[in-house]
Amino acid sequence: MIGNNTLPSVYKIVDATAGPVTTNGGVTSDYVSLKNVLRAWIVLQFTQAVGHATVVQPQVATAVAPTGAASITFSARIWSNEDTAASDTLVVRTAAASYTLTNDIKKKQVVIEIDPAEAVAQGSTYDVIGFTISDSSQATNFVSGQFLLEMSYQQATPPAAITN
Amino acid sequence: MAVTKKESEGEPVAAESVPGVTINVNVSGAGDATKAGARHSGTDNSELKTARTHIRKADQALASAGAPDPDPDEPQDDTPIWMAKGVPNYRPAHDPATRAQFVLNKFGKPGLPDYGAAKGIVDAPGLRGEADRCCSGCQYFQWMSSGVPFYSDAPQPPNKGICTKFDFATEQAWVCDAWEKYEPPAATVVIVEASEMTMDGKSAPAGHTDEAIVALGYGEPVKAIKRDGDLLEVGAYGILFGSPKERDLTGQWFSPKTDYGPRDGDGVAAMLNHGIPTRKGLEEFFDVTFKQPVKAKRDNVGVFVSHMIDMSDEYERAFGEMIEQGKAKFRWSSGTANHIARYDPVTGEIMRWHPVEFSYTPMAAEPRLPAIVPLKSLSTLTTPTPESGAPQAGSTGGESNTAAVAVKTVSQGESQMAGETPAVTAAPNAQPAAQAQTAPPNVADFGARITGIEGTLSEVKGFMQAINSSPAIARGGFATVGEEDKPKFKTLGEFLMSVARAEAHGVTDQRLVAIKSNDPNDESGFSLSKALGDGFVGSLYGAHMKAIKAPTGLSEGLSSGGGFLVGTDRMPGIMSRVYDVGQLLKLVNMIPISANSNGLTINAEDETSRATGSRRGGIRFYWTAEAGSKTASAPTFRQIEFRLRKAVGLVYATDELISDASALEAWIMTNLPEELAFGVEDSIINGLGGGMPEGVLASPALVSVAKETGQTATTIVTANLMKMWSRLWVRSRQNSIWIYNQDCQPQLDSLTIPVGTSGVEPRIVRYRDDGVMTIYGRPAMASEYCATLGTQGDILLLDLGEYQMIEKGGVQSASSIHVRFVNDESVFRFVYRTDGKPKWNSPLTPYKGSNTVSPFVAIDTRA
Repeated sequence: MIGNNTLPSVYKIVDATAGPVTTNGGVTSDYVSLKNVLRAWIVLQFTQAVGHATVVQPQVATAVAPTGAASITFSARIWSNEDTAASDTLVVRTAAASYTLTNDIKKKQVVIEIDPAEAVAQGSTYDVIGFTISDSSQATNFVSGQFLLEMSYQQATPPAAITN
Repeated sequence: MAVTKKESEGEPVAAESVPGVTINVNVSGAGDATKAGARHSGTDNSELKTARTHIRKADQALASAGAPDPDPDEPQDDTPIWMAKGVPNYRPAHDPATRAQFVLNKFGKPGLPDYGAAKGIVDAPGLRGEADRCCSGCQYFQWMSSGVPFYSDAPQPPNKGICTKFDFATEQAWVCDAWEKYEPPAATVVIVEASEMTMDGKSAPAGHTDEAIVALGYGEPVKAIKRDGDLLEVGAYGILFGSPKERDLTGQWFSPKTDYGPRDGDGVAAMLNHGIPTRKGLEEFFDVTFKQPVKAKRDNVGVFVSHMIDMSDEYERAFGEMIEQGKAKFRWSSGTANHIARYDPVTGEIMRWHPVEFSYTPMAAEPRLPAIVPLKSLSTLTTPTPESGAPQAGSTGGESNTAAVAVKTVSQGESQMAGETPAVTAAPNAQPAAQAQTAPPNVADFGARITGIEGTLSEVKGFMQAINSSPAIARGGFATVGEEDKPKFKTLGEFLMSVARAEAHGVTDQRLVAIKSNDPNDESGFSLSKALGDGFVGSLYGAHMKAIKAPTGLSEGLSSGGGFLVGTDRMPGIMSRVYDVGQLLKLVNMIPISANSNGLTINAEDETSRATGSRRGGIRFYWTAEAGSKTASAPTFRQIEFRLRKAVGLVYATDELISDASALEAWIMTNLPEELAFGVEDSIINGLGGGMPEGVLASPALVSVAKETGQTATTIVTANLMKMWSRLWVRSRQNSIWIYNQDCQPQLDSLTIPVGTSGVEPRIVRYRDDGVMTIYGRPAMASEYCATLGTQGDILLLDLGEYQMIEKGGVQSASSIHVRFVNDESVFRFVYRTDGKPKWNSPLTPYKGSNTVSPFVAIDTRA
């Protein structure tokens, strides 16, 4: 809840990728800890120079190394905008354990919500999340991602999320 | 015949005949005792006393009438004397004919015993020192009850007795050449023991269990003492002291040292044969508790028991009349509970026996106390009183004018009950020499009374015969003996008990004598067929015996042969351990969440350091000079967000299981919430913080002390604890606790401070009187939630007051049959919505120094 608070005090915004990276060969994000997190969102920006049904697969792990990473098995809430040039509307998609982009040449936006409770429910030691992007085999297709973490300790400098 | 005292404390009084003086003292039962060979009874004591009293009165009457004193040497005080009892002339040796007549009148059997031989009663010095021939071993000896005076009011020592053959007072140590060995009578006996109290070997009598009464003691026949309106008081000794040589048939004996309880049984209930019917069909008759409790008084002979029978009650009246009219002879039998009774297994002495009830019992088990006298209410022997016109002693009027000698018939019952002066009436047995001067004896009166006595005896015999013919109590019940063709024992157990008693205590059951084996190769054996009958022996050696050796049919030993059919008892319920679940939850700061919320937001100072400019989140004061500029400060704040997390437990159970295992539902309802509590408490320590409470180990506020340089893996050293204590926020010290994995205990108990190459005890770890360990004075408890030794979290120093939790509604439990209705399954659901995390978002940097402090302190892993 933002309320009168400022975004950086309430949410920890962490880069998931080192800026835009090509999806050629696939992408593995950084991993962040959920231990002080009330909820987490994976926010992705895709630039598809070549149409490809790229798959976004959220992951859980037991440590940010990552350790014991595994695809989520629960259904996560998903929003996407398959053509950001045409609209600014994030469309709610069917909750699922992964999301597959439409195979077209568009700039896209994908938001996946991760409830830490779901991660713990999947495995009692899963308190870390990340994601993988499938191999598009297109060097000109790029993705950029961030984690948006709603922190339980909301303060000027929320606790770090990239450490266990 | 010679009679003497073994000791020189008295000599027989010289006999002197007093013609014409006849004193007839009605003594009930003495003759029967003689015939029965009985030895012990106190029943004649009062008669003797009364006899003595009336002898004196007769003497006085005679003297006033001018007759010569029949015994001028008779002591008038209480000095023990030889004194004939119950004979017309108390010098029987000088008047055998009169004595024989008395016996004839009394018993209807002339010539018993041969009193003519009594003329020879003189000292028998040749027998002195022959203890084997002393009176106590003679069949004609009767014990006098101690404390019951027989010719004086002084209590008598316990060695007094009566020679029932010659009717005089004697003592147990005296000797006599007419001595006849006492043999325990082959009378009806009863052995009833705790594990054997069944009627027919199949079932216990109603209201009785095997443990109810463990043994029975028997005393004298119960006699009527007095009648007061509707209350008839009866009494007799209920317990007699024995000795190693005087045991009951169970091989045991009471003694003065026996613990009879604080009241010696006084005030306990009176029952009839312990409620055990003597035969089937009499259950209702015997199942009675009398209205009045008994009165018990202990003396140096035993415990005298008296009881008031309520004659206004129909049942008790019928019972009382049996006693009062002498239709039945009862003795006291005491019962106690199994857990109370104590025995000396070596000597057989009964060490503790708290009577819980005294019962009237018609059969005696005590070998020393066979049936001695037919029970008569003394009042039934009431003879005409002075008011009835009977001549008084010394009277000369009417028919008695010719009586030179007054004949006294004493109604002891009346004299004792009412304290009246005994009546004196004519007796039928005046001496021939005196008949010319005296009135004819009232033979008709005597005859009538003899007829009455015979009738009473007949009734008693009938009663006893009915008892003897009733089924014996199986498994150790009573056995009727005396008939050679009948089994001597009713059960094998009873037989074996007698053998065991004979072996262990040297007490030989006379029934064993009768069944001693004739086999010359088995001199110590007994005939089993005589003991238990041919039928028993036949069955023992028949098919049953073979079955015992090798089952040819169904048996428990083979599962498929029937073993499957034999179950075992199961304890109801489900065994559960008890754990210290909930200890941490009691210490945390818990806030319930309101109805319309699912979380909690706490505003707090964003203070992570006490350094200047950081305190209280950044507020600061400055020292300024006059007119100096002021510097602003800006405190910072933070929020702590709590969102309810849901802990859930779910169990399915089939309806059949719930129905058939009643304990399951209760177990689920108890233990699932406990498991929830365990999980929540574990999260306080180990919670990941994502989707569950954030534990202190995952908290950014945790201070984890570095291990010591070179510290061995999986160890805890004193320095670890010192540093932990020093890193605890100082305000938390008074509220802190230590929790540790139990594996840490040896480490904590062996802490030292290195001093050179040795070490000293650090005095950090202490134990209180109640066993609670303390570290730095704060309680330390083993906890399942702590990590194993050597891992971070194996020992923690916590102030859980700084740990904030929220909950909503507590543990919600619900069950439903609808979820899996078609499967006949019920589901039990438990939900607990909670969240928690430390209030602290980071350790606190002190104002001075750099070692941060926190309410949550651990040690780094020592791997």
